Amino acid sequence: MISECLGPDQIHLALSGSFEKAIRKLSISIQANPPMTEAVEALLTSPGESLLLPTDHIGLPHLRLSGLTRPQLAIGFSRQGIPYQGHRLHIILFLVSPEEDAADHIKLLQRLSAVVPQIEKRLLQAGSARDVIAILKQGEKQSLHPSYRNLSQAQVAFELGTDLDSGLSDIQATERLTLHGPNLLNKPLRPHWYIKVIRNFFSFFAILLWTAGLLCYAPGVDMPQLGTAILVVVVINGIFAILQEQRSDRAVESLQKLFTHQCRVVRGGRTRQIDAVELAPGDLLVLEEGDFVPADARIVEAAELEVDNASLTGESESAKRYKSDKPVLLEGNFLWIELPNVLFAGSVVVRGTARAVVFGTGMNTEIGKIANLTQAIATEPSPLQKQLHGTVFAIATLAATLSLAFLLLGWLGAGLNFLQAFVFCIGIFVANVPEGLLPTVTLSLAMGVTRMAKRQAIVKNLSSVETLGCTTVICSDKTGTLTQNLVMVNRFWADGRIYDVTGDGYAPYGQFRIQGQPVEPARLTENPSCARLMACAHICNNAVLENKKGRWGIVGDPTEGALIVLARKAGFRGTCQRLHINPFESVRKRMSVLVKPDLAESETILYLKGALVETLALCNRIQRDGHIRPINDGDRQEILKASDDLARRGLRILAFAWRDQDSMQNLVDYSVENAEKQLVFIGFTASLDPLRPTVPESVRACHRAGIRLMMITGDYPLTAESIGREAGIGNPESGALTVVNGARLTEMDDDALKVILRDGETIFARVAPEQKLRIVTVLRELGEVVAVTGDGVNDGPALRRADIGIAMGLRGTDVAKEAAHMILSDDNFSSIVAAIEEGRAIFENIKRFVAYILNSNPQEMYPYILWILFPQMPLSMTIMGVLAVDIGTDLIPAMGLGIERPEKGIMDRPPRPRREKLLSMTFILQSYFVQGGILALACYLNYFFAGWYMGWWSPAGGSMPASPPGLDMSQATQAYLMSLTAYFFPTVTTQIANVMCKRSWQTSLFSIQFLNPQHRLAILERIRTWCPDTLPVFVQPMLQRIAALLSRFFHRHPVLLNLVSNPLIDAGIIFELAICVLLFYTGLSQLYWFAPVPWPIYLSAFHGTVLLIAFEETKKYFRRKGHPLTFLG
Amino acid sequence: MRAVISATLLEKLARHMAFLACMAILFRSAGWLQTGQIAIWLLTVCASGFHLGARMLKRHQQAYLS
Repeated sequence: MISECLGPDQIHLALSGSFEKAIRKLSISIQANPPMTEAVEALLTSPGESLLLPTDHIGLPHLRLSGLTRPQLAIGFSRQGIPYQGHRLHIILFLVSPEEDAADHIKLLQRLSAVVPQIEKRLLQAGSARDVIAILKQGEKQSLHPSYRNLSQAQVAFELGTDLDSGLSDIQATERLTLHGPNLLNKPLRPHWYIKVIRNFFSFFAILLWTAGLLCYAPGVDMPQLGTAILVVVVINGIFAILQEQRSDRAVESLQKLFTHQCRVVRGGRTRQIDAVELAPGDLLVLEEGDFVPADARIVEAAELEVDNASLTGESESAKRYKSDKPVLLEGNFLWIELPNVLFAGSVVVRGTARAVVFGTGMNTEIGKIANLTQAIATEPSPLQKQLHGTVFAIATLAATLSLAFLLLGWLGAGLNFLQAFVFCIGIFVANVPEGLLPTVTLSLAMGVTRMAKRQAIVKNLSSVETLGCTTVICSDKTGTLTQNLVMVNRFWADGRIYDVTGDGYAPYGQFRIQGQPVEPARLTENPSCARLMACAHICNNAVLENKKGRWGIVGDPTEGALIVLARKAGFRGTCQRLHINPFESVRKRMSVLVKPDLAESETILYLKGALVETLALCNRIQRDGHIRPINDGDRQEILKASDDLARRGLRILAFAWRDQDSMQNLVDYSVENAEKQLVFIGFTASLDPLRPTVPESVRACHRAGIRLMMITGDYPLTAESIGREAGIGNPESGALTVVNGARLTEMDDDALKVILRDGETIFARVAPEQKLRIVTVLRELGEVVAVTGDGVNDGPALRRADIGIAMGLRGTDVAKEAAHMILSDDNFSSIVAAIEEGRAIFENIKRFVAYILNSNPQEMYPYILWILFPQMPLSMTIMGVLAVDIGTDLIPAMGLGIERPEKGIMDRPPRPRREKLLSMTFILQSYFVQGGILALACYLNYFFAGWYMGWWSPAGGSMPASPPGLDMSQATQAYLMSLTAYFFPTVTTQIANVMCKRSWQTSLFSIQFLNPQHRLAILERIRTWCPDTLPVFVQPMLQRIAALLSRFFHRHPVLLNLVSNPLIDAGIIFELAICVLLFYTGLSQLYWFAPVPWPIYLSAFHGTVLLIAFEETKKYFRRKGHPLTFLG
Repeated sequence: MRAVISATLLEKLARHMAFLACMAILFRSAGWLQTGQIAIWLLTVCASGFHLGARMLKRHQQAYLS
């Protein structure tokens, strides 16, 4: 912005005197250190290229100085005018920029040259410095002229201190490389070494070991040797962890080094190949077809140059570029990417050759600035991260409060000494902290990532997976995401009829139809107009159709490729000798070729293709019904009407004409002016980038799931609307669809934009990437959870700003992929919808896990409460029992819940509100007192059953085995240890039922609907093909047979398949039963304080399993009937 | 998936064992448990080994995801 370089002190409203005096006065107001007196004197002595005169009344002296931190501008006004070499200057703009910032200096010069002449009169009428700044700001905003106006090549060379023939010398290049730094984009900063040290030495695990080590030195414990040994283990563990981290960081860096680019430059008059990182401003680049443009550069020579700016714009159409010293005047809002004589870093030369002088490298390129902007946007925590922080905090507070209360009650109320009470305190804390929460969330997310990768969505950041689940708006690209990113001719007009063309991509196979009736290709080419059109489409064409490993593709312009495919579908394969070519130019909007169709004869024909209106204007005849006759107004109107109908549906029209030898007999030269006239009109084609076949169903799925769609595209409104309607975007009932173009969007303030974005679905066409960022920002302000797709470098900020930035894997640039949270490996919109389904499932799974874990807590906590409240009652679960539950039942089965597949109907519900809590007080209370109460009841029933069975207790009298005095477990009786087992085992059996029931919210575990049919088939297939390669070969056929039988068995008994469909839950159940055996029957029983009990007591523990399943199934039955019964948890 | 599950299980076991070591030190000092100092130290060494193993598996998984 010009106004950003200008302060009120640098505005002089009444300059007078000579030019020298005025310049000196302006220079004083510029703050430079050291002072710029010498540079000003040099400027006054020999202004040369350092003084531009954008108009007769405006002077623009400019300097680049070392020691400046930012560009500065001083403006002087003179009503009577300051004389300078025959001019009277009313405005003098004195620009001074930092020596090392050539790119910004040139851009400011261009901007000043373009904007100030437009607002000259208003500036001269300004009464104060504030007015001047306001007028400049407004002028910049409203200017219809480009913000960049070209300097001449000589001026660019002067500014950059380079020679346009011999480039920089080696010494100059080295100096500039030192001054400007390497041509690299800044990478995100890695954490400092001390952060790594702190992270590894003070992780939760390390703190536990530190605690163990330091406890050994505590008075009363006195085991200093053990303490030292443990502390040595902590230090070694920390060092190893840091080394591990360093090694993996280095591996990533070495991978990145493999991606360096090479480029060719002229240095010291010689062309040489160098690493692109060594480029410096002023270097003269030599580019040819296939080269990657490594820096921002001004074209100084070009031949048939076309570049692919897809990495910057996302649109894969190539654009012509040429050498030009003329000012660029584009109507409407100017996109810097459209400058015709500038090449931008990140683009690729698809055709032609060029020489260009580098003016911006590294972070001074446009890509660099966008990358900088992208990095500047802070990454916000995802909704899940926020939820987890809240949940962990809530649970930690609850656990700390309860444990502190029990510490005080035990110590002061129950007569325990402090150490015993402290052990209880820890027990309660451990019972309440769901230690498996974070690992399960990680696993759940990682599983989601794996499943999503199978559905072509690669997630970079685990927590982003869940954010997808609460997506309310998807802002999607059109090209390549909703459409197939190719051009296909699907209609053509010839002989007054419209032919439909079918086919798939660039494959040269398809059908022709007239009003639904198929037309054989042989019959089609019998029609002279159709045959001529096919010949013209094929010959007046520079693209090549190729088949690589069975996949059809094109080399060259996609539109031309589509014409080749059309001609090949009609069976045209002719060759001819090309005698002359008038290449396509965006100004004339057409190209023509002079060919000799038959090598044996001397006849020559001119074929031309181009924009319809322009081509039609050059035609004086038409080929129709097998004859050539003069074209009349009726023909023209008919053609224009037919083309308008198709153009309104978003199809792109291309007209074809030819010129026979008779009308060219007197021609000596076949230049554009001579050859492209007196043409015979043949017809036109209508082409479109076809919609991906899966998109309409995905759009319907989004609508069912309450997700709104916005299309944001750089393409034209009609095309965008046509594709949008075909995809089903818009109000599903009324079909209402708003289309807003980029120019209208610019005029709109945020309030007006909010009105549009608040409801319904909108298509934004001809949108610049910065407008995309604005749309995303406003949507987020409206409280929406926004998923945004993008592929260009310019999309980086919008991708980073979005809740979920989705980069395209095939077309996406590194910058877009870096900024995005998720990458689509097939660029397909439908993969986003699949990813959203997985995202929703993940949040459900985490909720199930939390419910499962909380349900088990009361079983661990109630014994302490009852023991404290009723001192005569023995303690039925010790702290070691709590730890055993923690390792046995809280881990693997809970993780199994984390990988549960999406439940049926998950995409028929509206998106989860962003603020919906993972854990609320109601949820905790329900978990503790409803389900938790049932589980605890089952434990106590078994505990007392054991007492009755063993004869310790009966309803008539007796008591359960007492706790040892002072809870000194070395004094515990065998009967007491058996009673602990009797209480502990039902915690396992009830958790088995709990984990099975938590697998669905409303679908019965015993229902055929429990598994999605697609998932069921996938599981059956996995069972059928299961056979480990590691087993001996002779065993494998037998296993394969068993696997096939099992698959068939489960196919016939789908309800049984439900029970084994989550292998991790099944493994978890086996694991916890195995842990029980280890804890009851091995030496571990002495550490965990258990003793074996008779089998009827184990058996009776399963009553809790039945009880809970009955309770949960009843609840699900009512949920299916529409009664959520939320109070039951 | 196996790597994630193994890493999670190893990490949990590492924490469990580290916690167990703390408990063992406390119980030993209270006289409730007659465990040797070497056994407690081996418990911390095993915990440390599991922890490093879990980290290694996690890093592999992260490299795979990136």
